[in-house]
Amino acid sequence: MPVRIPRFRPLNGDVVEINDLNEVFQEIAGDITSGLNEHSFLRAGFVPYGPQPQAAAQWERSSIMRTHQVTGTAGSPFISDENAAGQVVLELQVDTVGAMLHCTASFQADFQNNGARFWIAVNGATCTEATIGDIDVNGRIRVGSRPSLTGFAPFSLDTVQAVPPGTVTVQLLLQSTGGSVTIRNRELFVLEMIA
Amino acid sequence: MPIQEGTSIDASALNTELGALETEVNNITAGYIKKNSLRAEQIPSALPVFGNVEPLTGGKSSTDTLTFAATGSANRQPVTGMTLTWAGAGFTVNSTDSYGAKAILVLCNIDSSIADMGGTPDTQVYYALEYDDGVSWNLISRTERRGGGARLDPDEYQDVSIRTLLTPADVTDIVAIRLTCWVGVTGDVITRDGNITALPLYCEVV
Repeated sequence: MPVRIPRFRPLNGDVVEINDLNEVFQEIAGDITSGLNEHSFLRAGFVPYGPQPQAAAQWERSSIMRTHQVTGTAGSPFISDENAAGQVVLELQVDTVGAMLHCTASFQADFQNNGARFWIAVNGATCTEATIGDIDVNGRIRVGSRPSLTGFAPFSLDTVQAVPPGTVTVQLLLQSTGGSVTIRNRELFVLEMIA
Repeated sequence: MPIQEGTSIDASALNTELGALETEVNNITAGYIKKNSLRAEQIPSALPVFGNVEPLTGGKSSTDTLTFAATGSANRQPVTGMTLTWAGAGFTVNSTDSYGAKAILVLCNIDSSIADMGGTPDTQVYYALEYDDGVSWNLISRTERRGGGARLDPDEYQDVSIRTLLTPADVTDIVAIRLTCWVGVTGDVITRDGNITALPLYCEVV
């Protein structure tokens, strides 16, 4: 609700008297205080901040969280061949004022005889990693470890990283252990939180 | 702005000056507020809890069987115990509401197996999230996750995890969200423990 300042009433034919002025200014002060209280995020005691803040800094004072998201088209395949360096499956650029980044990747992997490694990297540094295929898991997910067979598995990876102000690159990377691995329904999102 | 020396102080002049002040005060945006000048109660919660908007979580610790006489997503069934329903008419994921939810973080895990499918090599089990907009259930296609294939023996279980962030681009009105399942070969799917959480977020969607 906006602050409303009452109109000055005619003061004895435009003759200003101190008592009238004081009364009116008290009304104004009361209205501003109550108006600011109704803003919920503003109260008396706030400090105006100027000059015009930079775009990247604007949000930090009105919300404590931003979200960033990138997805592939549902069902559309992303196919990776063996790549020792890791192939970028999804990438986000986060222009941050400095925050905690909660990064999540979720996707469907279709293995074609192959094992694979997936990981999330923030500014190129590996944060979390999952390996499937050439490992002895002896049970639940054994996809990709046997030749000439196809397997499917869903994956979700999460990591939380503290980052300084600036542009941060968040990536989901894939490295197959030989041959193609297909990724579908991929999604990478970041919850950017001011601590 | 100070009233200048020699200015005639009358009602009209004061109204002009104070009108400008009124405009200035009302034009103050959150971006002009210095960091740390606000107290906790003045900052909107990241997890709005008002009206029908609230975080929900649920799940199951039981073994249930879904029997499929037909294949494909058109014949999908909800997974027992994996539905979350907001009170009343639900809420709107509204990007213009100053204090409403602007995104929903959904976390879902299920442990399942294929049973009684005759060891078909290409047997697959599909999971995906759906939301109810108050009119019908709608499939969220990008959350489809497929388990199984030749790797999964009939008596073998597989963990399926789904994470997604729903924004106004995905959904506007929402009443409920749930996990559904379908198959590539008719038969039974056994689900064991599972959990599902939906967190409406007050945030800026970038």
